[in-house]
Amino acid sequence: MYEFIGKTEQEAIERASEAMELDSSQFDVEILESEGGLFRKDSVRIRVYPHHEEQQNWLDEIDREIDGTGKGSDSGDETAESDELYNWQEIQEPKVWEGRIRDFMQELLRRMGQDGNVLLYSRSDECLLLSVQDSGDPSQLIGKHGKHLEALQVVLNAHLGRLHDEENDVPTDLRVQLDVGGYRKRREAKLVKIARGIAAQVESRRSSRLLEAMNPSERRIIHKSLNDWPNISTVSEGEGVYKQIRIIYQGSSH
Amino acid sequence: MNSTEYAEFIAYITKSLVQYPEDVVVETIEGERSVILEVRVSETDIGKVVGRQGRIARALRTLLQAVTARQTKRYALEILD
Repeated sequence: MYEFIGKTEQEAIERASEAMELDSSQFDVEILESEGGLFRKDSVRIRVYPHHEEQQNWLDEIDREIDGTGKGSDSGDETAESDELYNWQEIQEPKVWEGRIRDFMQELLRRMGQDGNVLLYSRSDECLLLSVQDSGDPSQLIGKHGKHLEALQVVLNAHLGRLHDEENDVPTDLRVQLDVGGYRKRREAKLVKIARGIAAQVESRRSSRLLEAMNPSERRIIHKSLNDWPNISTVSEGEGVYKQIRIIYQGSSH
Repeated sequence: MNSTEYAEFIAYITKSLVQYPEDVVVETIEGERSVILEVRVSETDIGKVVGRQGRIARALRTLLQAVTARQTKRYALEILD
C-alpha cells in the first residue's frame, strides 16, 4: 500500500500511476480526507492498493509466519536480531509519569474487556516500551498487520503529549512503543532477517531493489539493520506516512 | 459490552488527550443497523482529538472497530466541530 498527495484527487492519482508505472486501472484508490477540514485543505491524500500486491507482499508473509495472535513467546533465538538492534532494559522503579502512562494502558486494557500485565522497558534511543503480557485476547489488541496495536500506540503517544503539558519532567523527544505478547519484537526480528537477505542479494547482483511500503518504525528498523553493511545503502522513496525503501548496491566506484 | 460502554471507552480515551476533559461528551445515536458515537470536545481541543492529518481520529475509529468487531451493528465515530 502506498500514499500520494496532490492538489486534487485527479492529480494524486496521476502521480501515483506515474510513480508506480501502473495504469490507474491497475490499482484501487482510497481517499484519505483531512478530518474536520482543519488541515491541508489545499491538498488531497490518497492511499493506493496495486492489484498485483499479493504476489510480493512479504509483510503479509511475516504476519502469517509469526502468528498474529501474539500467543508465541518472545524469548530465545527468535528475537535475537531485534535485541541486537536495540538495547532494552526493564524499568524496575518507574518515574511518576512512566507509572501514569502504564496505568493508562492498564485501564485501556480493562475497558477493552482484557486483563494482563503492562511491563515497562527503556530503550537505548529514547524510547519507552510498554509490553502487555498475558492479556486475554492478544489478537484483539494486535489486529490485522498490527493495526490495532498501532492505534493504541498513537493514543499512548498523544496521552504522553498531554502529560508533558501538565508536568515538565516528561522528556519532549520521547516516543512510546507498545508490544503485545512479543508480537512487535518477533516482527522486528523477521524484518531484519528479510532486509539482510535482500541486501545480500542486491550486493551479489550489484543491483538495487525497492521494498514494499512500510510505516516509519518499520523503515527505521530496515535502515538501522543495514546501517553498517559495507557496499549497501538505503533510501526512502515516496510521500506520506507509508514510504518505500530502496536497497542499493554502492560498490567501490570511487 | 454494550453501546453505553463503548461510548464510555471512547470518552475515557478522549478525556486523556484533551486540556478540558470536563467538556468531553460522547452521545450515542442508535439506528437499526448502526450506532453513531458523537464526540464533542471544547473548541480549543478539537485539534488534539483529530491530530495531524487526522491521525488520532483514525486511531479512535480503529479502536472502536477493535472493540465492536463482534457486534452485528456497525459502529461509527463522528467528531463534532
